[in-house]
Amino acid sequence: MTQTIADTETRVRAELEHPWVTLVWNDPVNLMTYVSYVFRSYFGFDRAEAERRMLLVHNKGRAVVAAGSREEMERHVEALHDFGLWATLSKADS
Amino acid sequence: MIPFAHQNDGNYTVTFERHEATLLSDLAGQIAELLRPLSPVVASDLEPYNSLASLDADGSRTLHADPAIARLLPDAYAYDGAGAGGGAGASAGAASDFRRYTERGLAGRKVANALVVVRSLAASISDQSADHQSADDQPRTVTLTEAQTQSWLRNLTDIRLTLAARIGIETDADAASDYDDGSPYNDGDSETDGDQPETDETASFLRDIYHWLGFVSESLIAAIDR
Repeated sequence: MTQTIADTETRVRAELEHPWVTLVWNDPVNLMTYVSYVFRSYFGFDRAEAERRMLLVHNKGRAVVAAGSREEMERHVEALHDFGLWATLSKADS
Repeated sequence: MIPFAHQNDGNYTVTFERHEATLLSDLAGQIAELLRPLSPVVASDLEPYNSLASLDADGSRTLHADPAIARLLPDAYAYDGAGAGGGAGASAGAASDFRRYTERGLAGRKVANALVVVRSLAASISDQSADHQSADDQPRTVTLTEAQTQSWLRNLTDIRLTLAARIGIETDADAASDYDDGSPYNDGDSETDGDQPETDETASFLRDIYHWLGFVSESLIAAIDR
């Protein structure tokens, strides 16, 4: 997966304007391979990034997996609940 | 069970013993029954996992008391009284609103995923049972499309989440200790088991199923994800 500078700038601006985040929380049921697979297949993270965020969930109890508008984060949370992951959205600064 | 394999035609195959297929089908059916009362009437007609959220606002207002349903249909907004950000009250209101509008859709998609699994296994369970007694216990191979595997992945997870809620796996420590005493690879019958109530045996049986489902899930992920 490649990402252009323009894409990154768009994303950063979206985060500044719409400071909502999607969090995934640790749970004892979901397999690490599954969480990593969901992060790659749904969010399009490359393998290393998906593993990094999966391990954050596992070791720190939670990880931010997306940032943007509230509506967008609500869609992500609903999709992650489809997968059976424990996800929430909240204000980025909370 | 012969693990999942990705075939050249793009489909996936997996082979279950008849009793394994029956067990899995029963568990998937239980998820469908658990969530059907919360889902739209026509759940079986929904696209399994990518249909639009339901358009009505008939979902519940609060997290369900049943721990399994609470885990399958969790709150979308975190609030734990810490009062961060918009405040716990504001988040609770947002969680309630979000649930009203999305819960039935989420429950309906989970029911639809469960029914995909039940249907995929139907032939493995009923085939030949009437007139080929000798072939009855032969393992049956199930062939799944790419789309069906997505329903399987989600439903296997839903079943494991439900079992975990029922047998009290709530922390990583529970899950880890579970491997010490509940693993099918241990003999499991220590002398202290003698006068345990029956519920312990049931819990131990459920734990064995839980671990087996983890194996099924890992196998499917490995086949999809190579």
